[in-house]
Amino acid sequence: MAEQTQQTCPYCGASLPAEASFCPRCARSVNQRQKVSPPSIRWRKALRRAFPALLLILILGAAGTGWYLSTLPQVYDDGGTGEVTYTDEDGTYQILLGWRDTPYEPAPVITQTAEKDGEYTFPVCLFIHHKDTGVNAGEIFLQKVASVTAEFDTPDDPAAYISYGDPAYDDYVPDAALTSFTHFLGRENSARGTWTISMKNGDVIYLHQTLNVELLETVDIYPEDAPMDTIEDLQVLVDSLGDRVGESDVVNIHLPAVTYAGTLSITERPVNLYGSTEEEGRTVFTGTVQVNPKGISHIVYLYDIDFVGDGDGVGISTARRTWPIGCRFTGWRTAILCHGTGPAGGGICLSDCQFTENQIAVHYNSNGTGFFNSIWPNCAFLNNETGLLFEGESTEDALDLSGCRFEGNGTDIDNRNGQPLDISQAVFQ
Amino acid sequence: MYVWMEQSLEQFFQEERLLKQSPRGSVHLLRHRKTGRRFVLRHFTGNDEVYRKLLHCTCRNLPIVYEAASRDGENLVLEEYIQGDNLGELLQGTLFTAEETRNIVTQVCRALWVLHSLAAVHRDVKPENIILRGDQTVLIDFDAARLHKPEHETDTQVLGTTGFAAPEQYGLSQTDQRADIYAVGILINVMLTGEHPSRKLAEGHLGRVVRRCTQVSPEKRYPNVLRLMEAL
Repeated sequence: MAEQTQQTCPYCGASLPAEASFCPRCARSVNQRQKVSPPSIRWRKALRRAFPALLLILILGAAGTGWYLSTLPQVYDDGGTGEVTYTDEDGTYQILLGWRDTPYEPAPVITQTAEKDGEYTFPVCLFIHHKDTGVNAGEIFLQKVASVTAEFDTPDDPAAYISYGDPAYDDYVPDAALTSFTHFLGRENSARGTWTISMKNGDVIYLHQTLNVELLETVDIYPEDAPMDTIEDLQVLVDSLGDRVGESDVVNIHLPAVTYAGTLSITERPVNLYGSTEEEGRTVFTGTVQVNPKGISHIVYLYDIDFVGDGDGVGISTARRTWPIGCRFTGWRTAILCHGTGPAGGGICLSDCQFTENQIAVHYNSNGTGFFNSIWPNCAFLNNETGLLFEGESTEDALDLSGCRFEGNGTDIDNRNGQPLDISQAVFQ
Repeated sequence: MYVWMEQSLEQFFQEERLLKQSPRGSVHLLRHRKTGRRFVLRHFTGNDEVYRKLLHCTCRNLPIVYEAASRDGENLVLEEYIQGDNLGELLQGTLFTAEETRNIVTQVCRALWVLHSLAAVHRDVKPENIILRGDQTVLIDFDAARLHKPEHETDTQVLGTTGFAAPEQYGLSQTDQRADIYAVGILINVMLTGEHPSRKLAEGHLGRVVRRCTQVSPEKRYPNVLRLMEAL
């Protein structure tokens, strides 16, 4: 199709080139024209003039809104992290729930292993630091706090309790603003705890922590289950437990009312010994019980056993956590010798024990980092040459001797390493 | 097209007189034989692209460009004849008040806005290229005008009228619409004082407008004529 090369003037009918814009014959434009003119400057001018005022109004409005919002109480929720960053006019704070030894690491989920129906207590710490420097800010921060509560939701197994003790400052964790001693019963269980920190300015801070309790298997071995009438039989039984039970299982050996002559070594795995309390009599050891099992966290419990020496030797020699309860010690050069170093080193706790006519009732000579339980309640130290002998490194925690009775000893307490002691509730006669 | 236009002009128009002659070409006043209307015929060498763009629009502050044709660098442009008082001639005998200046220059800015919106720069804004027709101001003569092409660093030719031309028109950099703003600044000052601002700067608000328009650095001038109109 040929390109159009001509057009006709709409006014006079003259023939024009296709690209012509003008008809020279009638002197009129023949093309399309657009009338153009600049936009009105009135609005632009008005807006430009008003702009600073509008901007000022906007800024003041935003600032006012921001100020108003900032004055409203704020809610800070950790979202399950166990940690909140809180800012006020004095600074920014890191607030977290954690363990005693790791004050900068939140512990939103805690898993504890427990024996069935065992009663447990452990500390949960509220740490508060200056965010920028990491410096402890607990004391200054608590001045702004109206109240702190800690509460667990109903546990999965409502029959087994999980509860917080009231949060309070405790020397046990001096760096913590508050410590709650958390209690739970040994059942397969779980519960979510919430710490509510209500500030005086109306702000509320929520920290959450989930406690999972995993049950340890407990294996009870009675005299009818395995030979244990002699020290040799008992040693064989103790040494063979590794093949018979799981690694995490708790093993309780219920001893008959016999007298074991000779040394028992608990060196493979932890085991708890239950002495007889039946009518036929008590279980007696006349040789040394050495406690030094593998692993560092388990406690070897010794219940209701009599340790009877001949004036020489050591009743219990322990390099691991050992807890005699209701035991009696008589006639030893050293009834209990606690030794060892490091985190597992020779921790010992005593409850309701009686020490009579020993040269040294308890010789604590450990370089461990602390007591695994700093309360030795209700023990009796009677007619010993020395009741308590402390050597090695002292611990920061004071040893609480509540309910203990010292009577007729040559020296009640020979405190050679300056071990802090709380004897306010002890009796010296 | 060029031949057709030449023939048509000869057939339908009659030359009244030569208005201007320069090395680049000539400007003639023509009369249409049939209607008696007057037209301006520009015959020049160079680029006619600004005139071609103006073929498609009208603005009351610019002459209507009726036809444009070119051949081998020679251009013919037929445009509206603006009958009125030449501002350059008026300034020989009088100065303008601030209000009169604001009114006239605002209309010059409207004309420049149209050119600038077509990406064109007039490059020769001066009193002699401004016609006052009643209360209407018309900016004429786009011979020096050219399209602003951002990729060009400098202009190939120095055009414009000495005194009104912006520094960049002397080859320092390519001229853009801010060169026209510079010239408008000079125009304002001349209308108010009869002098170049380097000799006598207008007083008051318009003097400050002149100062901003005539900054050596284009970046410091008004960025466009709309802002200049607002300032006026």
